[in-house]
Amino acid sequence: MDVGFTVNGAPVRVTIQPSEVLLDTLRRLGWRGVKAGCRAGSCGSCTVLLDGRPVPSCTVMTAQVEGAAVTTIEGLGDPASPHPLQSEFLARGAAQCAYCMQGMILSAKALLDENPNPDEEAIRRGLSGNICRCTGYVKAIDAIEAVAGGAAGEGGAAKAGGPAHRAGDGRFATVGVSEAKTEGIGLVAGLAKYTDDFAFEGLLHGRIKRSPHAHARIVAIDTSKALALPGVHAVLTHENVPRVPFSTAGQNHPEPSPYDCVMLDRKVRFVGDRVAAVAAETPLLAKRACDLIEVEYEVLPLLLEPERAMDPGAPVIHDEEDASGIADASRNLAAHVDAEVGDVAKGFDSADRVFEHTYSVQYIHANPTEPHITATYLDEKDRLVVITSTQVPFHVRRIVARVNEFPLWRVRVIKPRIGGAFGVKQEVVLEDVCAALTLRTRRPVKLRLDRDEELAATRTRHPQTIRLRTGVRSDGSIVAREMKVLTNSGAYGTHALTVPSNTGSKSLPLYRSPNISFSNDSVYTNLAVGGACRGYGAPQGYFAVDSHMDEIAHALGIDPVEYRLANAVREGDEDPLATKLGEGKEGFRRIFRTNGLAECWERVGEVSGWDAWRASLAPGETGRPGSRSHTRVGKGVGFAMHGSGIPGDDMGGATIKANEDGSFNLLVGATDLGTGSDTILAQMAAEVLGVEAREIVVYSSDTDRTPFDVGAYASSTTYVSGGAVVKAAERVRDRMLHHAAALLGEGPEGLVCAAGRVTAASGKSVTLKEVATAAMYGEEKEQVSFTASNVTYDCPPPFAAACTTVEVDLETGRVDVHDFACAIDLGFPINPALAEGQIEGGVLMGLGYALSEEMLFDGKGRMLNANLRDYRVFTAVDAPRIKAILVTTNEPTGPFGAKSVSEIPVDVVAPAVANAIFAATGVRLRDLPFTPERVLAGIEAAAGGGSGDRTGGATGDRP
Amino acid sequence: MLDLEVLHRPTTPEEAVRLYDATPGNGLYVAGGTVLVPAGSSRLDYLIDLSHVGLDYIRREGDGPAPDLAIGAGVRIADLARNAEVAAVASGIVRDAASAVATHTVRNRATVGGNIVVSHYPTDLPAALLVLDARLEVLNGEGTREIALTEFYGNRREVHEKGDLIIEVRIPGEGRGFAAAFEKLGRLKVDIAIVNCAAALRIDGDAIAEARVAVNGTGRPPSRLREVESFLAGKPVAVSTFEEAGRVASGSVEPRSNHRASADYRRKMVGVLTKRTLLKAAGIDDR
Repeated sequence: MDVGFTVNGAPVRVTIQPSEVLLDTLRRLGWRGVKAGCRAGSCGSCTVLLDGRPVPSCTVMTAQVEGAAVTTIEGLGDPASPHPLQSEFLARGAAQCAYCMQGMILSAKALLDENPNPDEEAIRRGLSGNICRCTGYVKAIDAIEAVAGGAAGEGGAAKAGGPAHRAGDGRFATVGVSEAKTEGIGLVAGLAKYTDDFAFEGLLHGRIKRSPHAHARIVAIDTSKALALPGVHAVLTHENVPRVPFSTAGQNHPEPSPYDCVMLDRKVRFVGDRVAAVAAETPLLAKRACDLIEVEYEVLPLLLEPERAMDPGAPVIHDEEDASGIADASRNLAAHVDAEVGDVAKGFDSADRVFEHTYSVQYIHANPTEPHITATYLDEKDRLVVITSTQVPFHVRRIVARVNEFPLWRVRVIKPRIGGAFGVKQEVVLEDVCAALTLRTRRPVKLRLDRDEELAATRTRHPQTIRLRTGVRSDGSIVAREMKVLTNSGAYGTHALTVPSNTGSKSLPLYRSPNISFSNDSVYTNLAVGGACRGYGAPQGYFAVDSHMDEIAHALGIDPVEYRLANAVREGDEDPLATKLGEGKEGFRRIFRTNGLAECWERVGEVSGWDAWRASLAPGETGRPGSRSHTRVGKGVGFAMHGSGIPGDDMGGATIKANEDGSFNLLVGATDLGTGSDTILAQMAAEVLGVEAREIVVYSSDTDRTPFDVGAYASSTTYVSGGAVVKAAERVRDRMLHHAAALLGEGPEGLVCAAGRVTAASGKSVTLKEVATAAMYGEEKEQVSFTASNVTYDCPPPFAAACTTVEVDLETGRVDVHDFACAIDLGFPINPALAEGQIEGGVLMGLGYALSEEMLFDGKGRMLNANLRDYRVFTAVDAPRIKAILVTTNEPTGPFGAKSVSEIPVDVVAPAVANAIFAATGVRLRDLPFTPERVLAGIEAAAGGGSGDRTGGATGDRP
Repeated sequence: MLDLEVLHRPTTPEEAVRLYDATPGNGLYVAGGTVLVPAGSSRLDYLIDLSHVGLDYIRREGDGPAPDLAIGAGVRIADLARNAEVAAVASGIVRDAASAVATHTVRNRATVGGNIVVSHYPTDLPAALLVLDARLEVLNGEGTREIALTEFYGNRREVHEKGDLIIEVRIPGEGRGFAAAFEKLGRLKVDIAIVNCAAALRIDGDAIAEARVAVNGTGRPPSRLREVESFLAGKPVAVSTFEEAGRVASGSVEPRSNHRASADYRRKMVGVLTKRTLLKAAGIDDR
């Protein structure tokens, strides 16, 4: 059928399949700024203006827009003439991965067209349909306010010289400055190229047929009907692909995760597990083909409760003979770890009081706006090219080659722009099978997950039950601590050892104790698979540890902040667990050289009005009256420390080469997931080379062209990959000085590279352009270039302190978060605006963990809320005001004094919220998430004297 | 993913119902598409698109001090939420309910008719429309007829036939002056309701002359709470009255559990929201 409408002012007439949606038509027509996120109208990435109004183009059938005017992001402006909103979003660092931003900017445009002077609430409501997973909406709202108020151009990078966005006391030229992102305006003009934006001739569409059963053996599989469907080019099953056990965990080789899965197996272990894979000429045909594959299952007994996993007689989930690295497959024990410092038993004997509490945390999903997507093809040299939305291109290359029994040298992995990742793309969940479809058909294949597959069948934050026991002396000092963890690893053991190790190793050392013990059992169940997820075990651990510390402080009658600060580690302390809990092996010693925790608290306490809040409480009073008679208000705190990379394990590489105009190419294996790492790495190189950040042209990352880097995980990029950039830049600078010396007729000693010139002590100088031209075309003729790699055996922790104000509805259990302040000692902010963005986004993700996000399953292991309507993440309307504070401590081992910042914000949120709910109501909640129903149950149990945790006061009194 | 070969694009409601009767197989009408398009259906053979049939009017019907309000089924929720005529009826509860629907982008597509017929999760308009005694005008091949909204939800199988197209929602003028309120409870502010509730009161002096209360989100069709209404009739306007009404409300529903909330929690929330909407409708400040 034919439809006519206009796009960005130009009339189009297209022939469509009748039920085709506008999203697909627009992308087919080349308007690739329209992004597919959830395909259900819930995320907003595909927002376009339809006759001026923002709509989700995935729910609009193209046939419905006959005669209408459609505006996409490309219609707003381009790099030559950007719309003020686009400029302002970029300048303020509002765009991280930017997958959602095109839609958000269009919503903002429509809002301002209708209401040129919106207040903050109107702006939030005007963005309610645009879910952003990277940011806390803070900078987007600022940008819209600035454009509305006529203050565009006065913020962000434009105010880089201002105090708010310049760190480092003038020591540095570009490092410490909130430079605009290196991607430029195209990032918010629909030009950024994500995997789905690559076009191929002869493209086939892949699809995975998934298991409807949580535990079953495939007795027979008949693909004949699927193969007979015209347009279907391949159907892969366990019968016709290599069987190579591996782990989908994109970790360093050899991976500390068990090799307990294969590309396609004879057995399925959770609902959504792979059964077969199809390549066909259209996505619809691929779906039809999957439906035509006939599978006979022998359904096996289910194991859904982790507590039962190790019971005698429990169904054995991994009974295959070729798996390796499983701690004890016969007991469903994927991994076990324990560690002890001092003598814990003696420690408890010497305690005056012992506190014991058990906490539980739920399944959540990182839920990036861009789902997992991979495209593979054979290039002109018959090499396999894998373009994929991944955090770990080099691990992908290794795993794809091995699993497909294909030579590694014939595999090239390209990481294009990524639409958010947060750990879930540290997993090889598509690349191996997409490659297999290309190898089978010799055609390009694109495999892109639907949102329900993304949520139910990729990887999750591991659920855990955490038992904490702490022995204290009567003065409050801690003499013994014990943490026992049961981790639900789900159907496979990806990160089953290392995530729970971090639950202990990241959270326990924050508070001093001479005796510490930690143990964890990670067990298999027939449920969704655990994996890497921003924070990597630490958010689970901190929810328990910092709730528990709050409980102890209250029980001892000590101010909860004073209690934490009195027991927290100090500068110069050694991490007692570092050597015991390494990356699946013995670790390296770890000394805390910098520690800004006290300053973090000072700054947070000040902005959140903590002292005034404490002073406002009458003796014995719990919480303060809220805005309604049935609500109470309280403030809670959370402290944390994290790490910067995996010591002795993470390696980052960087290549810098000079161009004759004095600019440089920076080639990094590090993978910018939207965090802005390309920008901060460029700033580091620019600082060393004495040029402007925009003169560093960044390419990231491509296994053919960039040096090896483990990838973006473990909060390692600034610290580890940044170190490699600095090393490479220093060597390149030395060569530039060598050539400059010849031009200046001086020795290279005493020459300084700054502001685009090389200057001698004598005052003589030459431009870098002249130096670079001379190096390339002069007598010596050298391509100035250097590749450096960086490994560090240190792991300096960033520190965080947070305070939040919540209002609890005592009748419904709903928790409204009013504000959230979070200060982080990140050593030194390479780019303050981008660092703030990491904190704001991390806090918002933490709030989802604390309050709304939870993957739910029925009694047959089927996920009940595998869509964004029911899996609720915070919108701009739900998000509180988030205040990010950067604390500088100049870490001596970090590049320019930097430590990490990206994961730690998540750690502090759930405990701060739990402690605030307690402060408001006197009710202690130990099971995440705090949904209204769960909170109300806690309030009612306390009112009935059930939990005995209520500290009395005005909680239940109502006027 | 929708996978259809047949999509009709009628330009009048009459043509829409004719096409429905004339097309073989299983068909559905589609308007905003915010629910149907992403859900898809393998049992669907064709769709009839209502984008171009009009039905996007909001107008007064009748003269006098209390005219009816006629709302075309194709009115977008966003337009309902910003319409002054809608805001003028019964303390603006229909506006408030419309403002609570989903997100700003969905409200720009979703329609009044769609919000009324979607039944697999609780939508936000029904409770507000129920307390205003709204009626539906329905068209099929045999002509138009009226269905009371209470009947539509209470007895849908009997009163709503295959191929029926809702073309209008009529809010009778007699409810215009009611003091009313709408409340929604979700896990987050932007969320599907766990429970939502509307209340409308006609107050005579210090007493309640007439009370209407409706809820959605019990896992059953949206409905009026008749027990609560009879309890309230003639009672004094007082906090204690409404607190008791909340208890009566909880006792009068038989909610179901699902992944959003348990039956027990829903029962309690029906009580809480009943009390709150009544207090708000009566103008009793709850601060």
